[in-house]
Amino acid sequence: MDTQKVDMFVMTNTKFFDGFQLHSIKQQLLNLPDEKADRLFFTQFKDPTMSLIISLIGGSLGIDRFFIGDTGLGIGKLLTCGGLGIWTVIDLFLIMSATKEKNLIKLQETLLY
Amino acid sequence: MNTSGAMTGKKLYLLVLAVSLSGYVWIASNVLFHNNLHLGCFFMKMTGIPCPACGSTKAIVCMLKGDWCGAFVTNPFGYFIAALMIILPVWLIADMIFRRDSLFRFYGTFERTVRKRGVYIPLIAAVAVNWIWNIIKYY
Repeated sequence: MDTQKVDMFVMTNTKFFDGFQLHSIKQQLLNLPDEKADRLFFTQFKDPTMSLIISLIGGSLGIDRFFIGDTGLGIGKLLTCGGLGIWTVIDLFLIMSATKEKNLIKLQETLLY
Repeated sequence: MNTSGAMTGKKLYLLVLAVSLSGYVWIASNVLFHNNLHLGCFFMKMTGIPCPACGSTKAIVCMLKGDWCGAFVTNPFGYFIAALMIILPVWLIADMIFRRDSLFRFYGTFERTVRKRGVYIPLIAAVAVNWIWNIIKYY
């Protein structure tokens, strides 16, 4: 993948990843064959800000965890009234980085297959 | 590259341990001290409407007293939570003793199964019906 395309991808998707991950993502994309690059531009990532808003509104029902794809944890939160409210509050702080990590996993999966 | 956000075996086992222990402490506090911890449903405190799982502690306390019908009327979720509270710690200890990861593998299979449309739609419907029933019971 050429540098211009990589820069464009990184610029448009900065908010979906942690700052420290961007450098290694850039390196990986530079070594990516062109046929995989097109698929990468169509990959939808989850917005960390949106997951925080969902966590604020429906965190105690586990909707935030369902949103980022952690179905098991979502059911856990739903069954325990959001872990008696404690898990809900902890997730308010964790959900944004959890979303970014999920996005990174999705990116890796896209690059692999 | 760091992908620590993925659920790993260690993370899952620690989480199951923490949730099970807090569950037992919570139930014990409710039975022994009649809920003096001033915790409870965050959703209920914020909105004034009970959440789908509200009443499950009371349902488990009912079950401990042998009132199985009362538990169903209070919240049917109580049955699932009670079953999970018995099965999960035993499974976790068995995995630790025999150095297996069967619980972690089951978690992966469970997540994949639940994501199927034929499974999650009936589950969501069941939760919605229970929630409506919970709200009706409250008012």
